[in-house]
This record gives sequence, structure tokens and C-alpha cells, in this order.
Amino acid sequence: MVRELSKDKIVVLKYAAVLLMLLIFPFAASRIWLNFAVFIGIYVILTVGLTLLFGYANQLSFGHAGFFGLGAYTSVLGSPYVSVWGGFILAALLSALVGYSFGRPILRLRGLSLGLATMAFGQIMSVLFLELHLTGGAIGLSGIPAPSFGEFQFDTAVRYYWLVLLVATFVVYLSVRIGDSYIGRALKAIGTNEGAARVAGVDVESIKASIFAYSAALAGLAGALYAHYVTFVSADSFRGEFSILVILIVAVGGRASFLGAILGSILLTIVPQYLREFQQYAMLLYGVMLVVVFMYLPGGLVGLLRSNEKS
Amino acid sequence: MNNILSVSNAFVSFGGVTALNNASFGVPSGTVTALIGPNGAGKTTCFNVVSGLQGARGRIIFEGRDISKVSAHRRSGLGRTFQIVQLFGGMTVKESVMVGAHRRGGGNLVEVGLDLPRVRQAETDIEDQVNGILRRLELVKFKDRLASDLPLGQQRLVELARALASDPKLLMLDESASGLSPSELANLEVVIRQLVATGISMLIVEHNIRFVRKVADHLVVLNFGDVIFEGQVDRGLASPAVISAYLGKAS
Repeated sequence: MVRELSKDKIVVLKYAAVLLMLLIFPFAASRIWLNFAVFIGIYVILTVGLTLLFGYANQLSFGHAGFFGLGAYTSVLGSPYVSVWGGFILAALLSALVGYSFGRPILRLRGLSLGLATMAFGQIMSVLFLELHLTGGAIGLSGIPAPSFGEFQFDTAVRYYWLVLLVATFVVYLSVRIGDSYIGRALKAIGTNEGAARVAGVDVESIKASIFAYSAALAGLAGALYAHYVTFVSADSFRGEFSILVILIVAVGGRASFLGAILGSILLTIVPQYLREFQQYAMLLYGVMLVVVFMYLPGGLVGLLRSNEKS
Repeated sequence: MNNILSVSNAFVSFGGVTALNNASFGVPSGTVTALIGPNGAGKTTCFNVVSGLQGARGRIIFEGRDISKVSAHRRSGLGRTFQIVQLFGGMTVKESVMVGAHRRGGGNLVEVGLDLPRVRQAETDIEDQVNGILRRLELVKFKDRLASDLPLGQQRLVELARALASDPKLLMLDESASGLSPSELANLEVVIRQLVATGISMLIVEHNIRFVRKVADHLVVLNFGDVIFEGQVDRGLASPAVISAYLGKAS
């Protein structure tokens, strides 16, 4: 009992240290790093649901760029009527709804077939973003307003940092709670043995669809936060290939761990900034990385760290 | 005697091969019923039909209710293990067993995310119950190990524990005795007797005839998808039809 308590204390101390760093960060960091931090936060929100969907339940999605875009356009187009905050909520809700309706039938597929079907979804969405009059197509929509409380606008990197930090912390908390619950256990069970999970009372189809909807909602919310930060979106921002990067973030970090989504987001925000000159080869690099990680590093960075800790 | 489970005219075929040929039998309440038969007789198919993993023609009455059209996850009161152990990879013994109590988990996705009091309460209740089961099956010392890392005998116990966590009225064990050491086998016998004493009915698929003689009260023999005997254990094992089925002779 005494040992367990001190173990808990160490965990609390770790969290406190991380929190302290996050709180000090905006006062110490340059504008560029603050900007990175905002994107890291947005990526964390985008991918943390996939830790549950892909990492826990082993359901591969190559279509989450579609939800990211859906959320972005929903919020941008909806915010004139319901305010930016309302737009954020609308983005999450509509993405969840589309995610559930699409996920319920499609999640009968497994493995690669599921990957392909979700990739098709991403492509369909990207064509819609490009061709629909509403989205402004390739020209896009600009002058997107920042969220605000009365006079106070979240229109600087520092202010947006606080907003994204708050949202990211909240959704990571939600996801960790879900992961540790009976639903998280059911997801893990589905991930390795659907038949045995069914016999144990798990409604496999409905839990899969729900978690797909949850991850879609977070992706939509991330898209909305993105749009109101960069103040300009076009179909180019949500191309199907972006979904590869999304899965790569989860896989590189460590798909079955929430820390993995965070590490992956950090890595894949910062590294590309230093490879700007080779931007046209980015997809090539991501593709190779994805193959290498799937083949040789299934546990991602977190898996690597843990295996080092043990030895 | 009342039957807790009655299977009538269950028919399953896999691309022209008949796995169950209008099989009918019952499991009397409060007994251990053994389901035996040579390899390929349809025993595991039978388990899959009853637990809802395999669709079939015919009727399955469980506790007086027709469950033939009920999906697997809604068939509460039925617990089972698998011939080839089906564990959840990457999960500890305790977590795996807790999955068995899934039906008593509290709250939807949002409630769980927000960690509401009733979600916590349900979780604590499940944990208490599972700890009890782990103690009873002497799995406590393994509770934080990966279930897949344990020796086969313990893995079978983990499966049994998982099935028990769902509070079954009827527990179906698919060759739980196979691959067990003599001491593990003796332990399984004790466990089965204890469970029956608590009011759980059992249906076991078993190849070990000595074990069947020891634990079973009622016998059902399958051969090529047909029920060729149902009744007293001793009478069944002495029946010429059963003996010739086992020896592979044409009857």
C-alpha cells in the first residue's frame, strides 16, 4: 500500500512538472515556437481519438482528413450564425454524426479493406471541398474571424495557445478516461478478438461506430480550431494525403498510448519545418516512414522508450 | 427436471458439409451435461450456435426464452470458453477478466469520459467481483501479467474467469481439460463442482472420458452432426452406437 501511494505521488509529480512547463512555455518561447505549439495542440486534438479507434480497437482509418476539413468548413460557414464558439460545437457534432452514419456500415470491413474504404471517404470529402460552391473550392475562404469573448479576441499565437491548451487537455482527459473504462477494455478486446468480445457481451458494431464518431468529432473540432487560427482555408488544406500524416502521427508516437499521439504530434509538427526545402517530397517521406514504423516499430516511440526502460 | 437450455432441430451446414443435422438436446438445470463425440462431430459448432457466434436453423430455448434470433452480446446468462483459447492480446489477466463483466459497465461514452459517480461505482463493483473470481481460481498472483504469457492451464482458467465475470446461469466449457496436468485437472474438477453447487448449470465438451465419468450427470453424444445419444452417462458410454462412433466403425 505504501509503495503504491509513492508510485501515485511520482505520477502526480510528473503531471505537475509537465503542466508547469506548459504554463511557463508562452513566456519563454519565441513566436515561432508558440506557433508550433498551437499546431501541436491541434494535432493532439485531431489524433487522440485515433489512439482509441486505431490503437485500442485496431480499426484503421485513412479518412480523418475528411473530418478535419468537415469541421473546418462547418465552423467557418456556421460561425456567422452561431458565433465561433457555436461553430466549434457544430463542427464536432456534425463530424460525429457523419462519422457515425458512415462508420456504422463501413466498420464491418476489416484491416486493409477498412483502410481503403475510409481512404475513399477522405477522397470523397476532398472532392466535395474542391467542387462545392459553398467551400470556395481551390480559392478557399479567407478572413475567418478569431473566437472572442466580447472585446477579447483570441487573435494572437499566445492567446490561441491558451485556448488550444485548454481544449487539448480536456479532450486528452476525456480520452484517457474512456481508455481506462469498460469501454476502453471492450475496445482493446475488439482489437484482438471480436468473437470472444461478443460472447463477453460487447456490442461490437455499436461500440466501433461510437468510437469512430468520437474520433471524428475530435478531428472536426481540431479542424475548426485550425481554420479560426490560420484564418484561411482552401480545399488544398484537406487533401486525402493529409490522412496519411494523421495516421503516421499516431503510429510513430505509439498507437496504443495517449502519450504516443502527443509525441507524434510534436515530432511531425517540428521535423517538417526543418525540411521545408524538400516539401515536394514530404509525402514520399511520410509514406516511407509509415511503412517502416508499421514493419519495424509497431509500438512507436513509446514502445521504444518502454522497451529501453525494461532492459 | 427443467431444462435450462433446449436446442431443437439445430441445422448448420458449411458449403454442403453438414455440421449439425437437426440436432436436438437439452441441458437439465443444475447439472453438468457433457457433450461428447469424435472429431468433427459438431460439438464446437453447437457451442457457437448456442452462444450466438454461428447462425443456425432451429430453435434455442434458454431459461424459457427463445434466443435463436438474439445477437451474441445480448445473450446474457450464457458464458463460455473456447477450444482454442481466445484471449485478448496485450491485456493483463485482470483486465481480460473484467471484459467479461462488460454488461454491467456504467454509462455511455460521454458519461465515461467525464468520470461520473455512477460510472465509478459500476467500475468499483466490477473490480470487486473480479477480484473475488481471481481469488477463487487462484489467479491473483498473475493478475497484472499479460494473459497470453501464462502457461496453457492458467490461460484456460483466465477464460473461465472471464466467463464467470458475466454471471452466467449456464457455463459452457469447450475442452477445458485438454492440455492440463493431472493436478490442474483435479483442480478443474473441484472448480466445476463448486460452481454447480452455487447453482450454475454446465455444458462441457470433453474428450477425456474418465473426466466425463467423474463430473458429468447427463450425456449428449454427437456424431456427424446427429445426436446419437442423450441420457445417463454410464448408459451412454456403454451404448454400442456410441462405442462404434468412437471407434469409427459404420453402424
